[in-house]
Amino acid sequence: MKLTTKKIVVAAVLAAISILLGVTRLGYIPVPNVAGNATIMGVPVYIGAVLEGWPVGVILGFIFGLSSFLGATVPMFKDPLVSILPRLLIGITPYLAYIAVRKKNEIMAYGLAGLVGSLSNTVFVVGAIILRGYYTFHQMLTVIPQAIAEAILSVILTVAVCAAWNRVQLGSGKSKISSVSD
Amino acid sequence: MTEDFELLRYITIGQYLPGHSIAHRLDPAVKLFSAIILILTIAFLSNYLANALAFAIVLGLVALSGVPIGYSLSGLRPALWFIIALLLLELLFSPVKGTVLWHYAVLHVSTYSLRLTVTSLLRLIDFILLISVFTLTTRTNDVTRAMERISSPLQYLKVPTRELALIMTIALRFVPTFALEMERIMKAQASRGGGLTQAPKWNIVAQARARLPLIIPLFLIALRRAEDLVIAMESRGYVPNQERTAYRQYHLVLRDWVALGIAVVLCVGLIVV
Amino acid sequence: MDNIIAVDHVTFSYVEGTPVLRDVSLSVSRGAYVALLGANGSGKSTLARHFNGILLPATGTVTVDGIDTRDDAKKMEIKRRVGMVFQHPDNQIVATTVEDDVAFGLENFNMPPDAIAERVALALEQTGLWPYRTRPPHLLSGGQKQRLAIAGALAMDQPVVVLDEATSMLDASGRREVLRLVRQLNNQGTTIIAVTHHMDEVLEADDVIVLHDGSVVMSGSPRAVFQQNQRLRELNLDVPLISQVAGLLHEKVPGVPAEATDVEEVVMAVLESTRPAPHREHSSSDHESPREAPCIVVRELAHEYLRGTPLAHQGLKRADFIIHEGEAVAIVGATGSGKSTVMQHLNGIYRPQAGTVVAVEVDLGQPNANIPKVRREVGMLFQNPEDQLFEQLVGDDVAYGPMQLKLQLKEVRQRVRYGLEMVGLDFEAFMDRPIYALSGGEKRRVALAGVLALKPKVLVLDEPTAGLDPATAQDLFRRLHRLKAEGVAVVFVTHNLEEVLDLADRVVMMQDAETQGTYAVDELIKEPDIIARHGFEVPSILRLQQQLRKHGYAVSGRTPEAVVDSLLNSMDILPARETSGDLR
Ligand SMILES: Nc1ncnc2c1ncn2[C@@H]1O[C@H](COP(=O)(O)OP(=O)(O)OP(=O)(O)O)[C@@H](O)[C@H]1O
Ligand SMILES: Nc1ncnc2c1ncn2[C@@H]1O[C@H](COP(=O)(O)OP(=O)(O)OP(=O)(O)O)[C@@H](O)[C@H]1O
Ligand SMILES: [Mg+2]
Ligand SMILES: [Mg+2]
Repeated sequence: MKLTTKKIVVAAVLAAISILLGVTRLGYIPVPNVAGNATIMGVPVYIGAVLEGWPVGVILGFIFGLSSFLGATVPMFKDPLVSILPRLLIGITPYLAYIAVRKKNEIMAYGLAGLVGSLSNTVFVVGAIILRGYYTFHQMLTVIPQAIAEAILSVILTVAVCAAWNRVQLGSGKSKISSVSD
Repeated sequence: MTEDFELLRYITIGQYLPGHSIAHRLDPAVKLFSAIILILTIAFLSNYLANALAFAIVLGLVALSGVPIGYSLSGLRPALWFIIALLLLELLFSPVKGTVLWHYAVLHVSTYSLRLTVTSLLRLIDFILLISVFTLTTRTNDVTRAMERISSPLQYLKVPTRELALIMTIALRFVPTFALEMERIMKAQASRGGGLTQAPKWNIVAQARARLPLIIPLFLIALRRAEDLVIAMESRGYVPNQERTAYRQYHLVLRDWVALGIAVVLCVGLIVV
Repeated sequence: MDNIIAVDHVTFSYVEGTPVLRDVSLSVSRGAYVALLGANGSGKSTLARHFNGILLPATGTVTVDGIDTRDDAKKMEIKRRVGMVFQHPDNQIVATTVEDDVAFGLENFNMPPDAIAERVALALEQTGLWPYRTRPPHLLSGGQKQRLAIAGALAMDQPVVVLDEATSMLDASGRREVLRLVRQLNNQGTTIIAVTHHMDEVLEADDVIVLHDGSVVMSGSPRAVFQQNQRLRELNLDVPLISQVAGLLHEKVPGVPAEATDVEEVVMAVLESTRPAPHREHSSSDHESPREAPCIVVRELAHEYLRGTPLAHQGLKRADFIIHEGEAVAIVGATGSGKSTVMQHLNGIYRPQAGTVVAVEVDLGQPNANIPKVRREVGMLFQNPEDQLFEQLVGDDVAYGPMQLKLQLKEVRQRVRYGLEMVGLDFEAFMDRPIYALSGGEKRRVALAGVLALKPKVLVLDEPTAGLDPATAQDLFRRLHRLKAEGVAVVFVTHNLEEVLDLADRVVMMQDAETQGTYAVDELIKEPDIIARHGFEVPSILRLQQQLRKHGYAVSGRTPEAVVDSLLNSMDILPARETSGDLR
């Protein structure tokens, strides 16, 4: 895979955001369940994949995994097979989703990339947790509400950022105050 | 948590503790390689004896490096109750295998679940200490160079290891910068009567909504900076996928080879036990 | 013909059909110092990026040392010859320590490690960064970061260095620091091309090139260019205050050269062709106007950043001052003197750790202080506010504050209209515009509109004009005058004492994280030495007045127009022919 200077730099700044969201905990939204938090730290990965292609997605997935491994304070995420390995894939799935739909509708493609990225993150990581024997499938069912929350947030963020960056008009293109008259 | 608008407080990456211990003097790539093989080995250990031995080895390393244990583990404190809850969940609800030691209604403690709980706790502590020993005795730029050096054989598989190392360097370079940027956005919102601190803690929707106007602009600012940075790098003659020399030079000396040997022997030993 | 750079009939466009450079031809001789001037969007950066082959001309040629920039095989040769330093110091630093960053370019050129080490050491030595070589860049000041960028170019030993607004994000002392370094480089033989909005930088140059709408419209020595006062204004460019005075004076006193660029020259000319008139007492506005009630009181305020961490730092040691209703107060001080730290206390972003702040009758030290009231009534514009617009559309961003007040949508709309109109943006035309489609100056106005939409009683502005071009900055100040006339108290931080003269009633001087004193601006006009005593450079029009007063002219004023008026009032013009005879 050939990396251009632009891909390198975009990957780097998105990785920086991912790390920042992690260390400041702004990327976590407290949810009462096994995982403890809904996380939006995967979003830079999905955005990187959409804007610069799957290689950047894989790199960002790796860095996301690494920072989640290094920063983990719970046993299951202090396991590289849970925190790093599955994350290598979550840069590829959103890219595939994006190019599949891009021709039809750009905005929808961003949204789908966010959705697929977030769901594959959940499925791969939960899969690894179960395979590694930390918890059972039934115990892991408690993450469903959180997975939904993460998916919604990922879609909103991926769409908002990619559309603003690529200057694709979102919605009516009118501000809220346009709906009333003086 | 963000009441005082001081995000830099949370940026502890690259917290190098200056010193002269053997761990400080070892070649960073040797340290990193040893840490990685130890971590991978420990990740697969499942019996009590091997885990106990691994724990002893890790404590030995901590002692050699002079890294304060309390400081290294302080990151666990805020998550303490949560960790206990998770461990209890593991202990009491895991599938019943081996002999049952204790049970009450649906709660079962078996030899299997007990071992699982103890090993995962030990593993957590092992890893935190190992990572601390490495990061607290190695400067940030040595860390990224070490990653580049030990991954360099992957170049033959067409993995762009130098570019990856550069990505890591630039990312670490920008984390504090973005923290300050985010701080400014938070202040700007607060001063217009909004912001994160207004959202009730456990109201997930409100928490999420309050973060969007913070995080979306952060992404856009970062991407805008990326555009500038590309021009600046190319102006300084950067061309990706091309040979570059390195300012920092490393040469392995005897003690590095010895350390490497010991690390390999320990890992093999742990797996055999 | 020792031209190191030659641009020959170059055209360029980013988007088909909208040329950004139109038939530009120019040449830069080896060792010259060239200033590139022009309004926002005139194509300066685009042209600068042609000098080292980042952009290639659509038609025409650019040659560096005889090498065509389009020659793909010689790309590296071009980069070796031309270094670039950009506006945002933060966006050009790649590595995690100072020394590694200086080495970055040399590594790209495949230089052997020993040679790199040698060059790095030398460049750090020359830029005064040697003591900071292991620092991470985020712990450097703006001026230091910009010197680091220059050190990178220096290490590569490039014969040409292009600076694209390299000083515009810096304060006065940071700028002086960088300019001194650039001057020194030039003296050592490096060719300098500097894009700038700052007139004092232009005066450093040997040659000035003025771009307008993608074409070269003026070029020549700074003196020759500034003489065309009127023409420059038409191009939306500023003229140094002293040249403005000279221009105005020249109309009435032909003996004063219209192209004068320094104070001494004007004083000499005035002395030669006029003599002070006997004192005509005219009503002075000296008497103190009755003081309004105080609206912000700061007493013994101190603030420590990152308390309890190894990075703890006393950002503010002691601040004491009062802001009265309806007055304009400037806060000045060197970089790092705690100005922004104080400002952020005025609307409760930071709560006092020690000392007291009472703003709009709320004591911010009380745990149960009514913070929402303070945030509503004290509007705050931070440094570089255009980076803090967080909505996608102008209307939504300006509405953010009023929305937090839970007003009816209709009411919100009226507030947005008010805000936008106050900053001179058409409500209907702008409310649905995406933020990214705005120019830098427009973004800053939108940011201000967002604050004004809250209808604050006090307006707190942290360096509101930094990085704006002169025309936009003047426009902003006209609006501030209007707000002040409507009774809004304005507190602003600035590094530019000319802005203090323009708007402020009083000025608070800060130094070493303490307030050193508060002065009425009228007092400073009479006694500019106070300014010098606090370590600031005295603005040229004050120096002019001071020197003329020594010679008996009763002159005083804040703006070039006022100064010239009072000067004309206080002198007798000698008939042109008599002048020389009189002096014998
Ligand atoms: N990457 C780009 N794509 C499209 N248009 C661009 C791009 N960069 C600049 N422009 C346009 O080209 C024109 C000239 O821009 P340039 O940046 O050269 O101006 P400038 O003189 O440097 O202005 P400033 O003082 O604001 O820095 C502007 O109208 C700008 O909008
Ligand atoms: N968020 C922060 N965290 C840590 N230290 C800070 C922070 N903000 C400012 N400081 C430090 O506090 C001191 C005062 O900073 P402040 O920003 O108030 O200065 P200033 O007078 O506004 O400077 P400038 O002219 O550069 O804007 C400086 O030494 C600065 O490095
Ligand atoms: Mg420009
Ligand atoms: Mg400041």
